[in-house]
Amino acid sequence: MSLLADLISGRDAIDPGYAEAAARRAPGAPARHLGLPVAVVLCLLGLLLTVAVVQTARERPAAKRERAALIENIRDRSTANEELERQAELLRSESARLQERQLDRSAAGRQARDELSRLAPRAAAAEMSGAGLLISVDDGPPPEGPSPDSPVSGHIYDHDLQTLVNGLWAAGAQGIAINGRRLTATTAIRAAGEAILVDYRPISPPYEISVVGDPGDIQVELADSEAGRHMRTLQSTFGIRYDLREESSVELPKAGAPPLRYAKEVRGG
Amino acid sequence: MIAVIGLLAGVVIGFALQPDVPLWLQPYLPIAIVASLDAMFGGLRARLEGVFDEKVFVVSFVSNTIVAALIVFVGDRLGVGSQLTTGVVVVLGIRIFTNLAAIRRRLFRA
Repeated sequence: MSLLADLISGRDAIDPGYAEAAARRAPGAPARHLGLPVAVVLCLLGLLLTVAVVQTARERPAAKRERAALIENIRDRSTANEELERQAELLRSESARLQERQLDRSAAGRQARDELSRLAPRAAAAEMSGAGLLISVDDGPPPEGPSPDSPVSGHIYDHDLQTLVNGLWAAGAQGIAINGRRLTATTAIRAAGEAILVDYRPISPPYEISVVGDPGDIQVELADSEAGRHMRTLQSTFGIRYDLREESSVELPKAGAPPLRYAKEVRGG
Repeated sequence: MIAVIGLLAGVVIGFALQPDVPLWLQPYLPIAIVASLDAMFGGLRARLEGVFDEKVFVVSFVSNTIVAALIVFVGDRLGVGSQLTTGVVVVLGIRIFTNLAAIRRRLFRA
């Protein structure tokens, strides 16, 4: 007696209990049926069905509401974040002003201030401007053929930009920004999926790299370096765009404030 | 007649009260419903074949529902809840189909 065979033949689909009960009854005696218990049981069935339907119908809008609440939450937090950023910017300028005033009081302070204002642009803590280069880098044309995402494509990857930026530093660049994001000594250039992150914020092609530094020296040094060869290879093999343009005046913004590693808030001062 | 009245009464009560299903019972409700549907169609077929018995119907209904829920409960404890649920649904589904086919043959002679 195989369960599956029974199921397929349909022989025993009806509960065998019915046949047994029928056999137990005296021949000719009427079968007991449709009394109150049957009504009660069917009432229970109706109740179960209705409860399930009601429950399912009730849960669907609940899921939708939850989603809307999450979206609302995200918007709220983003707004709060923006507000905090504005506040932080305000406090930073306030602290810079106070620092300026304190340093102005003594000769040593004035000397420190001069040194700071000399070093701050190079450390990306202040805006920087001067003669330099504008470099445009962009993905090459998509490869021909049926498979658009074959490995042989002119897609710029994070390590291409890393190589170029390191080459520029080595060639004597004093300040670099990618798509308006200033690079410090510790700024990360990474990939997240297809996108490239600079300072953990996504940027998209074309990549405009602004460099402050002696344009002639940098171009000569870069052309001779590993980074320059790498970019030229990408250009000739995959058809990426790689243009260098000399500019008499390049403006670089300052980088975001670095995290405080050693300074601690004084409590209860 | 009394059966139809009972069924309608259940539906009306369900809509009127809209009881909240406790969370621990929620996974077992659908499977219990499939099992009870199986018992109901079994009873309907038995009635059409003239062998319906009240006691068999009530007992099969209650035990079907509880056993189906129990199987899923045990499966959940063993970590194969969804697989066992599928198994129970397949078996009961085939039974419902064959019972319905028998009812159809009897009613329409086709």
